[in-house]
Amino acid sequence: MNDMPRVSRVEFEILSLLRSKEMYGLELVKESSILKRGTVYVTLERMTDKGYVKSREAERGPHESGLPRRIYSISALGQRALAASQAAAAVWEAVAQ
Amino acid sequence: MRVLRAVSKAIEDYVLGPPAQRKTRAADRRVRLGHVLPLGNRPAARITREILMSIDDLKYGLPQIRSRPIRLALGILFAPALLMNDAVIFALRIASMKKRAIVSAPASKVLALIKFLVPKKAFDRIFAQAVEDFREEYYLELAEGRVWRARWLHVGLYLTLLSTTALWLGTSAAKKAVNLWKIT
Repeated sequence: MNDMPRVSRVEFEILSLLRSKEMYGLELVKESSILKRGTVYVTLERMTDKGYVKSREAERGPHESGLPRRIYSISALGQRALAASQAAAAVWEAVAQ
Repeated sequence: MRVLRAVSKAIEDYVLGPPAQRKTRAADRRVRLGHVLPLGNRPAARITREILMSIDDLKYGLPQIRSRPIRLALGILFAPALLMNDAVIFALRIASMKKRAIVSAPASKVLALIKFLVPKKAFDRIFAQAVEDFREEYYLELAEGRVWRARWLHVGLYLTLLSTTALWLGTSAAKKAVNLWKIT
């Protein structure tokens, strides 16, 4: 049997936000109340290593300057992990009641 | 009036020599004072310009005066004015330098330090992203005239980088420990 994917609260929040569209770090922080600027990129990197999210370098116009931005999107494994976490949460709520 | 001008020119030519042979010319003065002289036709700008130019002529004309007693007398007489002129020009030069100074982007130094210290992957994917987020918000605040908020963001960046570094170090150490445990 495959190991059940473990998703922390912050990871769950990130996966939920990325389910609808791809975003970059600052957008995630602005959309969420629990994500912090100081931790979001380390968490995203950890999730990339786990295979929950994918990232790509954002395309830039010829007039744009600055450091290259990375845009994050949810992977197939991330979607499965999110669905499993949501199902587990629903079961837990039902049991708790 | 014409007589006065002619007499003044004769004295000037006698003291400094004919214009073509003088060491100090208008072009030299433009080079020395061009970016310091106040522009515009307001009385204050015109008077300041005249005073600065006259004192500059005196300063650079004095060593060319052939008669030593006249040179000494003029030098002593105008020493305070010459010193004051130098102070004013120095102050104006400093002010214009400040206005035109090209500064690096915010957080450039700390970014260079981080780039030197951490692996490229971590720099590109974690620290550079955090700094780019900060810069985006910083420039937005400046564009909207909220300078104090921009300064506060600059302070906040250092706190963000501190917590990012602590978390990154912890995560990296944990990852290394897990890898070692798997090997053994």
